[in-house]
Amino acid sequence: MWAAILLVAVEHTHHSSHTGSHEEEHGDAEPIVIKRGAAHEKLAQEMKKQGVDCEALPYGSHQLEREEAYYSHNFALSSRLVTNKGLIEIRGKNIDFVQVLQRN
Amino acid sequence: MPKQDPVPLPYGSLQYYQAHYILKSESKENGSFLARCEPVTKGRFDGKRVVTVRWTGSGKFAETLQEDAKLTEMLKEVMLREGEISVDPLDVHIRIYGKWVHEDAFVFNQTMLEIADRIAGHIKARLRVLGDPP
Repeated sequence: MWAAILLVAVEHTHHSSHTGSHEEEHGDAEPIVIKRGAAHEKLAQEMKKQGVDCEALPYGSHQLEREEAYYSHNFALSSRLVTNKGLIEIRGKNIDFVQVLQRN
Repeated sequence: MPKQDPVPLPYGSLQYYQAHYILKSESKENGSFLARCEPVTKGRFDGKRVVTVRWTGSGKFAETLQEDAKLTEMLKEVMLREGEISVDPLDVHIRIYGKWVHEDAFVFNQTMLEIADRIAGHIKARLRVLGDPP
């Protein structure tokens, strides 16, 4: 579940098993590229594009990610079952980190 | 046609995400920064607009945020999407977050970062006044 998430690119191309006529039919087909990444890494990339000085930390590397609770529960209906999806360190702002959580 | 499970499992991760903006602060005064912002709206459906925002919370902190006119203007931009913004203090840090967002709509919002940064600025200023900077 918590396996390191890597950027994966899957390219769909034609193989040599296809016949010649078949290749001609699909010769101009665009390759299908699927990129998958961790939620906090994608968010960090968007933030960098907007000019925010930040860095996505390795998953589970910071003490904040190992906290017992991510909410004080002073508010009614605070979520209890959540999953940490990564931490982003912010530099040059009053905010120190951005944490991504997923609801269970 | 794929066969759908008639009795799906009632547990597991949902497709909803939340971004927490975190300010490190180990002050004993962290508890005084509990606050929540809710929009005051006018109209319905497509015509729904945020007229102003209302901060509720403990102590003077909510009043300080309510008096910040620039923060109010920034909040009016995002409150229809965010729904509400909470300032949630814990022992060693303070979290600022909005509502849960579906994964399709979970994108970085520059205005939300600036809002969280401004609220964190107010927290730091207040901690300095109390003589307990983060």
